Amino acid sequence: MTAPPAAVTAAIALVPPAVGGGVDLLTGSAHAWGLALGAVLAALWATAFAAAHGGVSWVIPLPPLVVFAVTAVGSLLFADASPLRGEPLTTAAARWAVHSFPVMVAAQCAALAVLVLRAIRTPGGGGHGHA
Amino acid sequence: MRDTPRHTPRPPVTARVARALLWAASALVLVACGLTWFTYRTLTDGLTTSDALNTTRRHAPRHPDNSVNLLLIGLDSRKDMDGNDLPREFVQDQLHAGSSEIGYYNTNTLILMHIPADDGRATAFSIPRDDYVQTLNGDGSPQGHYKIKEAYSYAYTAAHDRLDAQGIRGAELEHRSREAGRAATLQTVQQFLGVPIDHFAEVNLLGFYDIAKVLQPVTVCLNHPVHDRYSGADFPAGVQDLDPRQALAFVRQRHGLDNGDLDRTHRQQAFLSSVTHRLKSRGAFDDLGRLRKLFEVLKKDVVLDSSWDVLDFARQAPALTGGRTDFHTLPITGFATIGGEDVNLVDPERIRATVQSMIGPEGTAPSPGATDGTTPAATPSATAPSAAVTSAAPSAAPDGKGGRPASAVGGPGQREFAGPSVTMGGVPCVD
Repeated sequence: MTAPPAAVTAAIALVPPAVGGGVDLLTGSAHAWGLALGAVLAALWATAFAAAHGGVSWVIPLPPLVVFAVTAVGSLLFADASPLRGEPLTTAAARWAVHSFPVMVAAQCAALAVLVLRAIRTPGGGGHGHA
Repeated sequence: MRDTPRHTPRPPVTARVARALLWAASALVLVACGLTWFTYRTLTDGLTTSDALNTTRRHAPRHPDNSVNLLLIGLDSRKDMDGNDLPREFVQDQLHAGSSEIGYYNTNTLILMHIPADDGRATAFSIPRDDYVQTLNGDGSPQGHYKIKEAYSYAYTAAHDRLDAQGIRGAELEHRSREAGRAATLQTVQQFLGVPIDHFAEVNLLGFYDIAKVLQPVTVCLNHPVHDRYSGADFPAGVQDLDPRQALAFVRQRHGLDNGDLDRTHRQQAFLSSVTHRLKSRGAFDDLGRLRKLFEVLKKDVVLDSSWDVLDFARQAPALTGGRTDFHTLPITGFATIGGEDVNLVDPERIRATVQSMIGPEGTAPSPGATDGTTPAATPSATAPSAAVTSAAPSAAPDGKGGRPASAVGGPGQREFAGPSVTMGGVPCVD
């Protein structure tokens, strides 16, 4: 029995950023290189997978949401300063936004780059973007 | 690329709505984060930062918890960041600070602010600038026994001479020499107080003036009228609003005060209390426009350590602005003249024990027998017996100013301090 493409796509989109974020937490990386690497890898892989199996229109908007969610959850659960430990939510949200924005831009660009490359390689289109 | 090929069935309405919501949420997150990031970068790009703490951290005592210790350094320099003299007229008329040759690179203000890990009260300690201690270089090597304010200038001068001999000139020479001065001050204070320094901010006379200009008028309260031609302080008793020039005179006056420099530390504490109260009451921390104006001044005149995240400070600021900070002036044991210089005698062990008892975890106070050589080597002749320097009991802040009396604040080390404590959160009256 194989997992449906949508489930595989979701796993590809979510797991690498989560693992990368976890590595950042474990190593104490201040620059979130693990999250950045995971998010870009996930965007590339998930978009390529969805382009081949369908669901591209669901994958393309995912990077900003996934990156922000991983950043926020990691901070909520493990950071010294978080709204769960008295930090104002606005301050925390600003921190998450500042830290995650460059990563989400990189991941979003990676996802779009896959589409552009596929469009170049297969003139006339040919994506399987069914929902 | 086509998203839905013609041969595939049209997705149901719920799927299309869900997909539209997904795109909308993604766009919203991307735009909101982008705006926040852009604002943050606009505010913080161009801040002058220093790596001087990197060395100090290697010699730092263990941090017992997630509390934060900030050192505020007020530099008595009449030069800009690149070492150029400030305009003479400006120094004389606005700063009322004599010529550009006066002051050199002494740290006339040293205030350690401790922000606890929990939601408790912040505590700040003013270190009298003439405290006679063992000063250190940035690498921890001893300079000798000097006034604590001179650690910066000795390290600056040594580095300046060395770098100049290597052919380094101009702004780079100044920047690198000042880095040596900062590192020496940080190392000396850290050793003197026995607590790690996590962050620091350095401001010079011009910076102070410019900050006061953004925040003016600065409301202060005096217990007695003062007139001092040296600093230009000429104020009646009571509550009053000061312009930047007057604010500078207010914090610099020491002549004509019963306890000289020690009273001056209370002026500095009162100033900090007043401006933070004003920032809070005017909503400057929430108003982007005002915040940007303040940051423009910070970029021009203030040096922050390179690890100081503005967002971290935004989290810590409420502890400093909400009237939850108590200021103390560290005690001295007497006055003396050493090498022709008037100095404050101090008991480093007692000071470390006092500081630890106020801000350290239970049981971390150093043992009475411990020593690190900071006891003055000389045996000076005491010229003033005053161990407990006192100020006249300050009056409560006037109604409507949100002030609190600068009265004694309870705590294990209270009786150890020089003069009354000042509680932040309003406009405390001082001598």
